[in-house]
This record gives sequence, structure tokens and C-alpha cells, in this order.
Amino acid sequence: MLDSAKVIDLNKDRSHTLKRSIEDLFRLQRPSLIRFALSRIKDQGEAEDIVQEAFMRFQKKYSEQEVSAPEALLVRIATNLIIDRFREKNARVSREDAWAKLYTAGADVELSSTESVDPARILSAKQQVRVAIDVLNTMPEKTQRIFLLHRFEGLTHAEVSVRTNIPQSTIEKHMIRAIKALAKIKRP
Amino acid sequence: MSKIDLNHGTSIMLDRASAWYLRIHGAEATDRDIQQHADWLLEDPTHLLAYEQVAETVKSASIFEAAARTMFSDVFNSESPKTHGHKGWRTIFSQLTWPQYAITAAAVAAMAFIAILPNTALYDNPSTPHYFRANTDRIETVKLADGSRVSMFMGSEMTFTIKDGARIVDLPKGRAFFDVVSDNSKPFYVNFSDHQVRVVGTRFEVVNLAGLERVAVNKGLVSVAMRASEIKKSAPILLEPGITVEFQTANPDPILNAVDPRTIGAWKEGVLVFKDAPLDKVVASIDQLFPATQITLGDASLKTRNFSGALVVSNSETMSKQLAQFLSLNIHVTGSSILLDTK
Repeated sequence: MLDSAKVIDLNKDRSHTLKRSIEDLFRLQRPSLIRFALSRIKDQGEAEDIVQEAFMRFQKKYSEQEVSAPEALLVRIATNLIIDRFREKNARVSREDAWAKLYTAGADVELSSTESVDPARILSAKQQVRVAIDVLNTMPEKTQRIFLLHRFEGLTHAEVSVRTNIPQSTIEKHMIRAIKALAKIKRP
Repeated sequence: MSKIDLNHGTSIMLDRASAWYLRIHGAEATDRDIQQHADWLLEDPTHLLAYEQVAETVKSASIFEAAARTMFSDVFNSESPKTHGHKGWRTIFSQLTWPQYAITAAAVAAMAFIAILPNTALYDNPSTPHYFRANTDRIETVKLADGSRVSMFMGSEMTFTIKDGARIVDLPKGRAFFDVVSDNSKPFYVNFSDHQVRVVGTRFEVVNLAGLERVAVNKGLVSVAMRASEIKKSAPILLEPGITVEFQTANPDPILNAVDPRTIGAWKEGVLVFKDAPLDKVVASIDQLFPATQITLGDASLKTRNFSGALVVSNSETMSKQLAQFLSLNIHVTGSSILLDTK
């Protein structure tokens, strides 16, 4: 065995974990969800019930390892339930509703936050790696460096700023540029 | 599944979604941010879709972390902020009782010795070269004392020495992909057969196998010359990314070829990936990795048959079997010859 190899824990997520409990998340999102439900259902009690049910389903399905955006997943489950109820009341209107077009049946069964965006699961993992590395190679050096340090070293924007001598105010702009470039990778 | 068109205005939407993602996942996210974010998500279905796309992009980046750490090792090898360590150690030591303090201090001293030694003159000028050998069943990646990384193909051997201000690798056998840390004061040499590769900081592959001596550049510039000790002298050959030079015993002139730079050292990921690649190219890629064996295609029509997929780097026979299985072909192995044919 070689004695100079550096061992890196690649399973450890460093930067994308939401720094809130799911209870906190629900508490903070609840007013917005109820307002949204009320705008469709027109019934305060029913709106509160639906949002509560959404949270229960969310709790049941939530897995930090599998869900990339819990804050979006809770909204998605809730909006699905609301549209579900809305459909029962007014089928014709619901078909024309933009949210109804996003509706996913069985929100509590198969739904994941990634279902609608078709991540590159169709591609083999190795193909994804190659394409992503190509995209990273085309980024300006500063952008590339900032993304790598933030995402893989888990450095905060302030720490990245110290490490790179790039003003903190521009770190976010580079991060947005990097995420956008990677998010635009063509899926077959 | 969604039928909403996210393409219209995608760029602006992804901008916003990315900004929200960074805000929500930042160290200073407030309750108010979470609430406003929920309102934004509920404002329009395309917001939710864009946000999910961004979140999945960031999360799934872990898929290419290993490759990124190899490809961009210079980014990760740069110095850490000095303030981190001081704060951490103060906190740890303040919480220790005397015996724990003594044991921890001894451990820290040992770690410091190990960490600092490679940067000292003592380590920089080792009296004997460091020897590395990759196991025959796996690709190994090593970090040299100067921070450079080397991916060694199965069964490869090399030594590393820092001598008279130069970093010197000897590759007596095998195949290695080098990711050299830039250091103008210490040139990096790779000696193989009767050739020497000279670089400052770059990425390249050197192959020194029976029947195949080759240098291929992935990034940067390298020069390949005859070693000073040899009688034969010639002008150095300067190689750019995507250019390879091959030396053949029967041919006195080096052979230059152009290849896709991305394919150089692709084996270090432990897998060869092909997309709509003609089968003769696929076979050539395997043969190039294992020159001691040769794969031939029985039916001429097979040459133009395309293959898309990933082959795990193992050995010529196993990879041929994978290929045969993917494409429903027959395989015949006779000694060092492998024949792939239609069923």
C-alpha cells in the first residue's frame, strides 16, 4: 500500500446542508403555505389542515442524504396537496392553473425534490463526472477556485475570501456563475 | 412530471434561484430569509423548479468531487487561513485536564513533526529516494513531498527525490499521470527509459512499458529530451496539451500524435467512458492501456459499430468480456490474443 496517499472523506457533505431543523423550517414556512392554501381553498380551517398534513408527509419522507432541497420539498408537498384538494372542487380551473401543471400525483409516496428536474441520473455517474469537469475547466479561474473551495472544502464565503484574496462582496457572484454553469449541463 | 417550460428566461431564473440558495444555506441566514424564500417559491411554479434544479446541482457535485480534487489539486493545496488553527487549538486545550493535556500535547507534537518534516531541508534532500509501487489490482494516487499528485497505474513503480533544487521522478516501469505543483525554483523531471520529461507545473502522463514509451500532455507544456547520460543526443521536443510523443525501438524518430486532451490519463478515474465511440477506437484504448495483449475484431463491420458506456479499468481480458457482454459479442481468448466477433 502506498504511504503518501491522502484520505479524503468524500461522503461527508460540507456546504449544502440546511442549517435548520425541519421543525424550524415548518414553523417559518407555515404562514406562507397557509396564505397560499387560502388563496385556493378559501377555507382557513381546511388550509391549516392541509399544511399540517403536508408537514407530516414531509417528516415521513425527509432524508438528509436523499433530499437536496428540504425547503423546496416541503413547499412541493404542500402545493401538491393544495392542488389536489383544489382539483376536487374545480376540475376545469385547476387544469389551467400553473401550479396544477406542476402537480405530481402521490406526493407522499414517490416524491423527491429532484423528481421534476430530471438530474443526470440517466447518464452514468462517470459521464456526469466528465461533463462536470469540462464545465469546471471552462470557468474563469477565480470562479472555479471559489466554487471548489466553498463546495468541497466547506469554506464560508468569508473564509473563501481570506483564502483567495477576493473581496467577499464578489464571492457570491462567482458562486452564482459556477452553479448556473453546472445547472445548465444538458441532460439527454 | 412537470410540463412547465423552464427554458424561457432560464438564465435569470437560475440567477435568482442560485442567489436564494446561497442566502438560505449561508452562515448568516435569518428566520426572515426563510420566510421570504418560502414566499418566493410560492410566487410561481418556475421558481420552485429553478430552485430544485440549483439545489440538486450543488448536492450532486459530490459525484465529481474526487475527480475535481485530482484535476484541480492546486486549488486545494493552497494555504488555509491562518486564524483557523489557532482558534481551534485554544478551544481544545482550554477544555483539557493535566493528563489529557500532556497526552494531547504529545500527539500534537508528533503530528507537527510528521507535518512539518516534509517541508524542512532535511526532508527536501533525502539521502535515499522515496519508493512507490502500486498494487497490481488497483490504481493508486500518491501525494509527493512537494504537494504534486501522481496517479499510478496498476503494477507501476517509481521513486521520488528532491536533489540539488530539482524534483526528480524515476519511472522504471509502468504508467503514471502527474499533476505537478508549480514551483519555478524547483523544476520537475521524470526519467523513464533513456528519456527525460522536464516541467514546472502541469499535468501529463508518462508510459514506460515493454513496447510502449509515451508522453502525453493534458495541461501546460512539457519538454521531452534524451537523458544527459545517453550517448544519443537530440533537441528536446516541446509538447502542448493534446499532443503525445511515442518512442519505438524500431524507429529512431519520435512519433507525434494529436489526441483529445481529456482522454489523457482518463484511466486514473478507474473507468474508461465512451460515448458513441467506434468499436475499433474502444479496442485501441484498451490495447493502449495493456500493450502486452492485443484485441482484434473478427467481423469488419464491427469496426464501425458504436459503443456508449463505461468500462471499469481492470485487465484486457476482463474489459473485453465487459465489452462483449454489452454488445452481445462472442469472445475467444488465446494466450495474449483476444478476438471479439459477432454471434
